[in-house]
Amino acid sequence: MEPERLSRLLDEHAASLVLYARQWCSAPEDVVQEAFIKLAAQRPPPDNLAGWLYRVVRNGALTAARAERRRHRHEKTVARQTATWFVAGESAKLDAEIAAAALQSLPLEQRETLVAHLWGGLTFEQIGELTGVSSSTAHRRYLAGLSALRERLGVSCPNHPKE
Amino acid sequence: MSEPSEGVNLNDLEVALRGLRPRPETLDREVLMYRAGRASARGWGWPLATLVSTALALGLSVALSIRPAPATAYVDVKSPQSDAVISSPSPPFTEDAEFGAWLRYIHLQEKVSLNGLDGLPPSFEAEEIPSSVDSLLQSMQ
Amino acid sequence: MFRRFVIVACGMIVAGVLLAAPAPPEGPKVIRLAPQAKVKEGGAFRYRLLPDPRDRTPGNAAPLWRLAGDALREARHKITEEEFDFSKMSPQKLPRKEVRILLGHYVATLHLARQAACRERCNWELPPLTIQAIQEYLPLGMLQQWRFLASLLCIQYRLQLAEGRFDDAAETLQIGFALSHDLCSEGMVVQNLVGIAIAAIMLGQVEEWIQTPDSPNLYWALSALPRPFCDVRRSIEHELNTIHRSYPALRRLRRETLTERQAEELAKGVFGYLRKTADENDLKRARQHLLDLGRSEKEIDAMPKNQVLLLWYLDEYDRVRDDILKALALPTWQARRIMEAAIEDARAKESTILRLLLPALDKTWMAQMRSERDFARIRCAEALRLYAKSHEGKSPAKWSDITEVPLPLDPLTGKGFDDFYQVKDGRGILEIPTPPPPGMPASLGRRYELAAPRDR
Repeated sequence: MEPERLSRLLDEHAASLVLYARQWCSAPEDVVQEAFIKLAAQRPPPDNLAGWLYRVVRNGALTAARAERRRHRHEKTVARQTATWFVAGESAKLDAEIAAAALQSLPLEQRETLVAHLWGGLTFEQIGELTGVSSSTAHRRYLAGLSALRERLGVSCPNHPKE
Repeated sequence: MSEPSEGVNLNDLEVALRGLRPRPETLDREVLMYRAGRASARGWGWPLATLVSTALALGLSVALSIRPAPATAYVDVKSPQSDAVISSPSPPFTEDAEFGAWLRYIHLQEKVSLNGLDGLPPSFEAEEIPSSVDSLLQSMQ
Repeated sequence: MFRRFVIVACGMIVAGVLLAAPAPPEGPKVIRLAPQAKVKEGGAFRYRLLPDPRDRTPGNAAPLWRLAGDALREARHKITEEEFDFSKMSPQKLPRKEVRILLGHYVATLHLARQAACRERCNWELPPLTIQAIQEYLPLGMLQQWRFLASLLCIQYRLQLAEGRFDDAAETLQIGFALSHDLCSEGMVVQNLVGIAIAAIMLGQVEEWIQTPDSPNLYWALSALPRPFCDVRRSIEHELNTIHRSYPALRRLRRETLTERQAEELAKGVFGYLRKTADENDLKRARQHLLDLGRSEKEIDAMPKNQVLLLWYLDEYDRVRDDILKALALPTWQARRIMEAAIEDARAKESTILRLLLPALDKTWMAQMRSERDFARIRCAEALRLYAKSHEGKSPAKWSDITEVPLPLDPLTGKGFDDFYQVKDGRGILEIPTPPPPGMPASLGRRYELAAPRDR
């Protein structure tokens, strides 16, 4: 893979991938770095780059999480990390720390789906393939996660019926 | 399937969440590009040879460092006996790869037997490896 | 003012009680049996649930099932959530035009699946399962595709039922039942479980059939199916023998005395993967076990300690394995007690392999048991419909009044379903409770109701 293309992929996906990997482990950047190095070695490059990256990052993060559990560091490290998940954009309507804490309180499967869709840009079909469920289940998890976040964050949604 | 986050009718909460940007990553791009360049420049034989030898070395060193000394199972006792030849010795066992795969398989069986078709992952690799035999036994009903 | 307050307060109390009242308990699913077709049906086996032997072609079905799965995966159209819901929609409410368009995308898949169903045999040709090579051949991707194939078949079936095309609907059921049966023909437990699940989905479609007015009777089609339809004996035995296949040297332990090195290498392999270490107590128990079996002290002293331990471990394992195989060799109602005792015995043992393997094997066997019961109860429902047809719509006063066909036995008890039948308000009701184990959802039970003649 040409360096320019790899660099563009880093710009486009790295931050979201790190956020995604952060759902499991405390060293998400190591996991993401290894994923991009593996990508560089693929011949030919995978057709669905985003899907491939998320799968490799997921597997890497799960492996890293198991290693952390063996060293009994996982829970403490994740708790320390919630404050640094986001930076607020110029038009941000939510407090970054509060949003991160609310997100972190969700069950993993809902949180993973929300992160992959909202910031990773994956479709529900891609998320279904990634997590081993049907796209409809992925969609249900997404809606359940949004609904739970809405309660926790106190954000009303007047334009849509209740899920 | 229609995706609620595409198009103009975005949910307010979705809009608000998307207003947050993931913290910029602090990957060391120089190191990454260097390693990526080396990884993509090699032929397939190089990474395979490196992987195999590295994995072997790592696996042996990890096995030595973390495996507790067995209590009494393996005892050298000289006793008179015939040298019985076992014509088909057990295949060599390598550490975590096979063990992890075996536990993963047991875990998968349990999930499918409990949840039916919904317990199926898309691939064997997508199935998480249980962290230990004990944790797997505890999770099984 | 005060009176108004009291009225409002009482209203609030009543509302609170109603809201707090527990929801009515979930009950068995109710199936209202429709009157059968009055016209002659062209013989007892006009409708079959597996392809007619005269339609069978030589060859192995497995490659065609795989091709059908590939065709499904490679189809350009991706089924939406709304389209998936067609597989559960009442045939009367099905949007037929959309369904036809959807099915048009999967012509190749359905054609290949039909061809697979008509093959004479199915051999998955999977290599024997060993611990060392477990991940080389798990067909998980294919199992997912076949799951979707089952949904596609349900969609096609419901369209055919909605249009009164019973011949076509029966052919579609044949494909689903053939897939299910082939998945259970051999192979791994996970594959069998998928087969059992697909059989349950197809039986659900049969229940739609028997609720459709003027639908032909399927008693003999159901009776002609193999029993048990989803036979998990082979896969359970295969799984139980995994340790022997993975370590072939274990089979020679009882006949030969190993060298120290051989015994140590074997013990490291077997115990190593279980992360188990043995201590002096284990060794004492192992020695005593061999003495109880009739070996002499001299013989035991001549063996490496690792061989003594392995023999004890192996004997424990093989004894529980043999008890399970005994249960699998018997009809379900005789096997239940033996299987439950074997599982309890295994739980009390220290064998980690047994503790790892048995929960899923136990559940798999129970899944087969439930499946057998499902087939039997639908045969009962069809027997009830046959009686009503030949008695001008009347229900039998008691279960044994049905003499049109031999009455099925309950696989769980070996007895008839007499105790589950009653007549209420002129309506025959066969209510079969939730199958074991305890804790299964009540909706797995069934209540088959024949309408009273005045309702027909």
